[in-house]
Amino acid sequence: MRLSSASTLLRIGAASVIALLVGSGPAESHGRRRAPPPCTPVCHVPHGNPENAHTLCLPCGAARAHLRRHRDDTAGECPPLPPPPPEVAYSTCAPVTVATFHGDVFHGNSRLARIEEGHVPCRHVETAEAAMCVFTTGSSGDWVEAADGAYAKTGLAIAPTGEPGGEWVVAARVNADGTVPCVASVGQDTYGHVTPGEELAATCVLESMLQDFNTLSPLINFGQVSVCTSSNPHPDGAALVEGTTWCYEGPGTALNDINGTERDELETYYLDTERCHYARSGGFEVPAAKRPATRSLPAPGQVIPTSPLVWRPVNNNLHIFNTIP
Amino acid sequence: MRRPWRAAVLLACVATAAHAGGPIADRLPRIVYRGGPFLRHPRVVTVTFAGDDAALVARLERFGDVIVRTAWWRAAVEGHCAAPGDCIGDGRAGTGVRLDEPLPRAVRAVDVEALLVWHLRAGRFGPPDADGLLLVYLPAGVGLTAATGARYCDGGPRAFHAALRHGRAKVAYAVVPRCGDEAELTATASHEIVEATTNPDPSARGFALVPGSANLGFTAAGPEPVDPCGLLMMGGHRATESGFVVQRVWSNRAASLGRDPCVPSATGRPYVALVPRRPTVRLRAPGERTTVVLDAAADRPTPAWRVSTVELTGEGCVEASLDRAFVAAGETVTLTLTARAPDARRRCVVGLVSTVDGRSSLWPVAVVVR
Repeated sequence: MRLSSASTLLRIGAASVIALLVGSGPAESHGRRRAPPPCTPVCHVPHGNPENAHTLCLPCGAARAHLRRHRDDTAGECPPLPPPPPEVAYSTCAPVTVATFHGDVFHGNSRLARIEEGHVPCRHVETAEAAMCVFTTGSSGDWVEAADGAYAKTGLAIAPTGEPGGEWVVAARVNADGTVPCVASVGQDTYGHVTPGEELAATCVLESMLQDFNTLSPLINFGQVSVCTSSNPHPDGAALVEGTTWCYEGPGTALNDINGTERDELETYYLDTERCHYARSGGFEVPAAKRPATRSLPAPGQVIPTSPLVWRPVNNNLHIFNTIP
Repeated sequence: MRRPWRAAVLLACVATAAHAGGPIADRLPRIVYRGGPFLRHPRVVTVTFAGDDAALVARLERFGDVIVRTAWWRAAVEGHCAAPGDCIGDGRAGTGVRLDEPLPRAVRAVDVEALLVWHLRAGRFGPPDADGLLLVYLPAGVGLTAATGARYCDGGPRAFHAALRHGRAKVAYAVVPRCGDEAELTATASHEIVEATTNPDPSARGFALVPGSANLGFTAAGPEPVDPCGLLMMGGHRATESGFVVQRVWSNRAASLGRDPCVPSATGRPYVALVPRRPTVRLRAPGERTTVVLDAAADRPTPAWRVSTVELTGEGCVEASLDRAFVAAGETVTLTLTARAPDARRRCVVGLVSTVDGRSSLWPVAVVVR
């Protein structure tokens, strides 16, 4: 623990006076080997380079003078350095040119899962267990035709047998170069016709499944509906509504978006990399949601308020925090 | 994994001039650099097809050759810098390529891209060029359909630009179907040249309006530098340069001076606007009503002008009215907005129209109905 400068100086000063009055240090005696002089540890913080702080061991008087000259230094050993932050990993998308969209949920940079022999990779929305789910174009959910094949939208809720709305979520297979397929953006000359003109972030952060910390920064996604959980305090600092069941609302409440992307109070997506979240395991990627556990079936499903707020696969069956899916 | 360079430069601002323009300058959004690629000195490769009108093709090739080296171009790209000294500058001399193969009467956007990739690999467009822009004019009688199923022309979009992969590089291209005469074609092409230069890969934005709810109205027609001008200028978004019709382009410099943000502006005409104190409004249920105070502002002394509203997203989303029909600079107007049908669109845009000397311009207010 670091001491304040004033109390440090007082302690060092008092120790020096006592040492002068009673003689030298405790281990000195005639005819025997002299013990090393006592020293006072000082945490030295190099000017302009605080990350290189280190402990000096100085004679008492020298320590006092040193602390006078170095206002950033403190008496005592330097506290242990915090562990280095985990290396930030990103999800970057590799656009595919879409020939035909089937469904209206696609934005530019929407992540895609390749449909291979009628199947797509999928993950259980709660356990993240891996499986291959049947995907039937025309009935399982939104998909696109591209030059090199057919793709489903990641984040769709699906059953292993291909029915929409199951307890599994469509996952993208990560390419060999670490990218995932996505919809190529196109700049339309709208010429006075009003269109959304939005696309999602091409690069998103990868979160750690079932952990409550975020890779880069606290959530600011605006929760329009309060959410109840076993987490207290809230990992992202959201406002507590009720103290008995730990319900929260407002910015940072939680996230459960099919594009893994945070929104503001007016439901506009933030387009920054740090506001877009995916999670990977076993070479597959799903939109990441920071939410309590849920039960999807029987419909309409429910939130389990006795579970913690951690990163999980998105559950597209429930509108947990935003009124708009 | 290394942190992407894009994040490090996200939202680095385009250089802007001094701020002295009152509420217009205060509340007009700005184009910012958002970290993606851009073309420094674009070279337009005009691509046409056999059998097209030879005289028109010659004019289009001439347009692609000269337009990126004109006063209009310099005004359009002024201040578009990723860093000091790293800016969009004058383009280079363009070339023309006339492809021989006939096109079917209906093509999809993906078909055009495949055709371009094939010719690119064959070296038909010359050696690889980081500043190259393939500008494709489809011949008359060839219809174009987007992947969404939307048909171009006749009330649909007029053109698009995108990027195609060529090895490890990406090549910017734009496709302009035959929606009209030469003036229509060059106006649309000018739009695409500016936007393909500032955003050659729309998946990774280069220069575009600041995103977010505060600018929903301005980005309703798209976030790239020409998009808002078609929306705001209400038919007055064209200009003439070197004998060609071009579109007007968003200027941070003009915006920061409180002037008409779309350049080149009509010389001698005042720019007037109703500027909302809330750019985006939320109405939670049908019948819910709110008011917004609007500041009337002008870039020079101007007599009172006529004001009105128009719903840009079509009828039925929101009802809008003003408490007066004429206003002078420095006065305020109250806008009343009422949500309409329960199945209304989630986002609507109301235009605040100002008309002076027979020319109208508008300022958008976004309304989120939910």
